[in-house]
Amino acid sequence: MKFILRATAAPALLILAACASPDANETALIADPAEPVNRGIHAFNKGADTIIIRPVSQAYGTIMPEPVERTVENFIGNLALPSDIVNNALQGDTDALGDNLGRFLMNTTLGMGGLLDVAGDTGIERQPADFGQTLATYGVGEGPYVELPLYGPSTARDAVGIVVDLITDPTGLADGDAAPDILTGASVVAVIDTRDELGPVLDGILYDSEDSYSAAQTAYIQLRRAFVNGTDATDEGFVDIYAE
Amino acid sequence: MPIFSSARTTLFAALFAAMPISASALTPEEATDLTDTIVEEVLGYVNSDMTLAEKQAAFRETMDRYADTSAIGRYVLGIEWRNATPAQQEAFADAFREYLSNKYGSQFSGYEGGEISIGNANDLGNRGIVVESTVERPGSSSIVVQWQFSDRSGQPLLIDIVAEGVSLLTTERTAIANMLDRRGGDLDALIADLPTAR
Repeated sequence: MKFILRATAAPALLILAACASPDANETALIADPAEPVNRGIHAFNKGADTIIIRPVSQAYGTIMPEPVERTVENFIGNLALPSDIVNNALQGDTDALGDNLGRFLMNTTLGMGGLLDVAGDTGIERQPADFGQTLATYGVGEGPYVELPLYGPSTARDAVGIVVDLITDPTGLADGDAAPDILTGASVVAVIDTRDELGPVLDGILYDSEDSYSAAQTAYIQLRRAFVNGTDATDEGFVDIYAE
Repeated sequence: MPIFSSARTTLFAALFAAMPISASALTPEEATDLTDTIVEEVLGYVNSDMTLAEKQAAFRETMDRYADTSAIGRYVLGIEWRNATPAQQEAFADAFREYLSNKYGSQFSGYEGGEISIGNANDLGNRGIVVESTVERPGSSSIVVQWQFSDRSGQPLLIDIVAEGVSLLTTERTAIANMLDRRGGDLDALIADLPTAR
């Protein structure tokens, strides 16, 4: 009798003990064992944003007329398609693959090398995909949180994905010496353009919030999970707030 | 026949009294209408000449009318809410309301010239009803925004807004826990700082 009691009491005590430490980890969305290192990289990234990326993106947003900005976005988006297509194929996502392949063929030819978004005008939108997402479809967990220099918030799985995407990007592997240079140039412009588009939201996270590291992590993890899991799974995130 | 008419009046009165109870369950249509009302109201002052302070004040009124900010505050504070005294709970609820309207009311500049189209509404049972919408902004990619309503408080009220998977509830639960942690768990210090915190 005593033995049975002890056997049932032990797990109950464990659960109680787990509940009894209401520290910040309880509400943290992701494990962050390398937090001190990540915070250091975050400080570096924030500095780079303050000194270079933010001012340049603001100047870019002011100087560039809207049609030119759109043309640049079209060109960069078209260069990203081959890598999207590889990942669509690896994920077995034939619908997205069809859209991206159709876009790439139409915009590269009729759209003058991707400057015009002819496919978008006919309703074929880009379906972005990356190797981090591909790993997720193969069942790889996201792993702990990492903040990457200049890339910003990521996870262990997605950091591997970024490296694999860089190495295997068909655009970069294309023949001709100019291809890697164009790709590097496009990546730099893509960062500036994205920073310009996210302007007020990123400013709020980086410069208004009390702890920009935590704010960036919370926003990134939610965005990333919604992207990786697709929009079908987003109902899962809703909670019954009256149940507590 | 005054007896008949008074009997009829009583019957009608009884029917009307009973109606709100039997028809109180929030329907997807009602949630869609509520989203429409909130969006119209907010876009009304986002695209107006009002100063930021005026917009924040107007936003606070909208939140008070259509959102269950006290339930949101309770959920966001979690365990600490149950450990707090009634006076602390009341002070936190007030401070949190001010924090929410100042924080989110200051982000309006990103939505000027924006248009919202409202889509499907899904019934999630106990979790309420979620209305899907798409925000189109000039020169930017569109954003999917979901509005979660519940009538579990007795009234149909907004309890979460999720933009591209980023939930206000989740974001604030993490942010508030972090703020409390940074103040060594001192709830009174958090309450004092909350109205001006971000």
